[in-house]
Amino acid sequence: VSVLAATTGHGLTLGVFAAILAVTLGITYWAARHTSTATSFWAANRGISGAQNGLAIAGDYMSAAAFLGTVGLIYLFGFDGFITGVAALASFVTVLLLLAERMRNAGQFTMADVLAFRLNARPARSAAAIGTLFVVGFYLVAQMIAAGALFEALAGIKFSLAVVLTTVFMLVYVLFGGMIATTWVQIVKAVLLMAGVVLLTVLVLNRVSWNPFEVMGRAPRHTEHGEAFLGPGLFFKKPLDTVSTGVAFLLGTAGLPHILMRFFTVPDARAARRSVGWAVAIIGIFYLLVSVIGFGARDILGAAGEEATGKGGNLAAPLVAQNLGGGAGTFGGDVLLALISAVAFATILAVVAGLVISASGAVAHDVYTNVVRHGETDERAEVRVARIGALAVAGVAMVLAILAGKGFNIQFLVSLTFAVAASANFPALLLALMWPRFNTTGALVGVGVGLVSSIALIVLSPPVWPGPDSQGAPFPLTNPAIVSIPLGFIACYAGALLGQPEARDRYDQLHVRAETGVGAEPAVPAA
Amino acid sequence: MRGREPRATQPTGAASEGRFERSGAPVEPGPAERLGAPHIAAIAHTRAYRQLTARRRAFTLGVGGGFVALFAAFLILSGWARDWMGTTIYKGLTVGYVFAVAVIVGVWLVAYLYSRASNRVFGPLAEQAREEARR
Repeated sequence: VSVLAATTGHGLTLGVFAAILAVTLGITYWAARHTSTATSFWAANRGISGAQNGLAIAGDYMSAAAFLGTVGLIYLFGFDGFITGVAALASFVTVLLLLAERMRNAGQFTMADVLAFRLNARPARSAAAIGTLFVVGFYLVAQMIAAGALFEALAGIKFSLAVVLTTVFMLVYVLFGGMIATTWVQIVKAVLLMAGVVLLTVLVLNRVSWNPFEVMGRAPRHTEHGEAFLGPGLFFKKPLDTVSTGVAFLLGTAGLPHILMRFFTVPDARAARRSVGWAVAIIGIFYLLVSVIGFGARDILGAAGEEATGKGGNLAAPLVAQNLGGGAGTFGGDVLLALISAVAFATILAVVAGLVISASGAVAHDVYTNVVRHGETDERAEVRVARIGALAVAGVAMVLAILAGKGFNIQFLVSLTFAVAASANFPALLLALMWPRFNTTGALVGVGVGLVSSIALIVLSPPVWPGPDSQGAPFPLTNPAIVSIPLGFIACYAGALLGQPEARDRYDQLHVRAETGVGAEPAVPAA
Repeated sequence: MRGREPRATQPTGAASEGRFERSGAPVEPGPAERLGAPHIAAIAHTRAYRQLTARRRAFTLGVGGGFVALFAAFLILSGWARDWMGTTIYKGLTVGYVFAVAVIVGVWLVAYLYSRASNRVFGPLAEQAREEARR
């Protein structure tokens, strides 16, 4: 980290970051004038186009863990790091074929809308809101810890202060600009991040005379693992770890409330599916380029750089940038380091904004309006409670992130997020849309068992179980998905059979609406 | 109605009058179709609707299943055939990397095929189902 402690570099980083902040705050000011109704606050008046939403989904999805984490994992462990990226992209097949259009057609603001449509609304909403808040909470704390650690290493600001600043800026976007501001912040961030990744890739390839094979060809020379670095098995020790992590990603995105919520911002189902097309194009290119940067980092930083990249190799990408610019202390090195660091901060801000706005939907639209007030409230009150909810969720996450501290393993929280999303949210959502016999009991039991089993198994797993080298962890796998997802589905099924069958007509209505878009929430006319 | 439970029986509100079209697509459904449950039930019983759900299910199982098989093979080979996945084909290019790129291209292919099927088959069938129900 001391390599990065050049003061001029810090000043530059803060300068570039201030420029990004100025642009995004300008967007927020503009968006605030269009944000008054619930539909504008949560769904940007459903006026975001497919291409815009695709960029925003990419901006929402390419988190700090995706960029810094994947480059770091590939730098430290080679091919296994790339597997996580490929799996993260693969998850969009699940989203596209099963949920994207159906969510747009059947829902209003939150994931819970779809469950409440055909099930007993209050308990089903409560269950979905709890699932949402757990998933979003873990992800939020992970991103905030990442923000604090990064700010501290790259801009010389104290960890706890950095977490507070992240929370404050994000809240400005969310509270004043709602989903419109959040969407555009995500779009700006996606463009910046892609530009940064393209720039780094060009510089990496330039170093090896534009021969991409040379990037991978050189990597094994700088590691004790030799050629094995280019194959799987260095990060995932057990074969089942590879499979379980892959499955967690494949089904996890389809249970992430902040990603699903993005489909409510487009005018119709056609735009929803087009946004997935744009998103997978961008995210796929992103991970291909990240693999070049990650393998390139081996040759550029060498084995000697491992210590400086920190826990999980999170600082590998900024260090590579500095190195490609000419090294520590050079002007080029400072500039590139500042650019990539600022992009990484913007990345975190955009992701936490998306997370908090989806949490505010669960608090205000699901719990307050429909569970507490039985739907008897006006829109003004709903948006007010949404803002209070956003404030509360962000405040709790901020305190938890500061208490957990930077020593906390971020990767563990991210894997927890995907495993919980895939085990608790996804089964109930899918069965509500597809299975006539599904009922309220099934949803409650399914969400409950999925939530408890995924969290419990993670606590019992090697990354968390206390003791020297996690010896004797009761659950052998690093990711519980391969066990907890089937448990979630079985619980949905068993609960449904134990409970009373519910009226068929609500299911038929949901089905027709989801498949054809008849009766779907319309877009708001442009002012 | 906003801020309450979404209802299929939602009456035609002010919001559905001035529908706007930013994506260039016809915005569905029209106000006349937002009539509620009886209309929805009528759609469910059309031949076109049954075709729509059957075709979509076939696509999901066929194309989606094919992709899941590719992805599963990638994970399983990465878990149990590590040496083979790590075999270098050309310079630093390994079997595993080629497989990974194949999965990425596979995602793009699924997105393209689904979009094409939606425009050519699913969209027209949904339209037809609404037409049949209106009669």
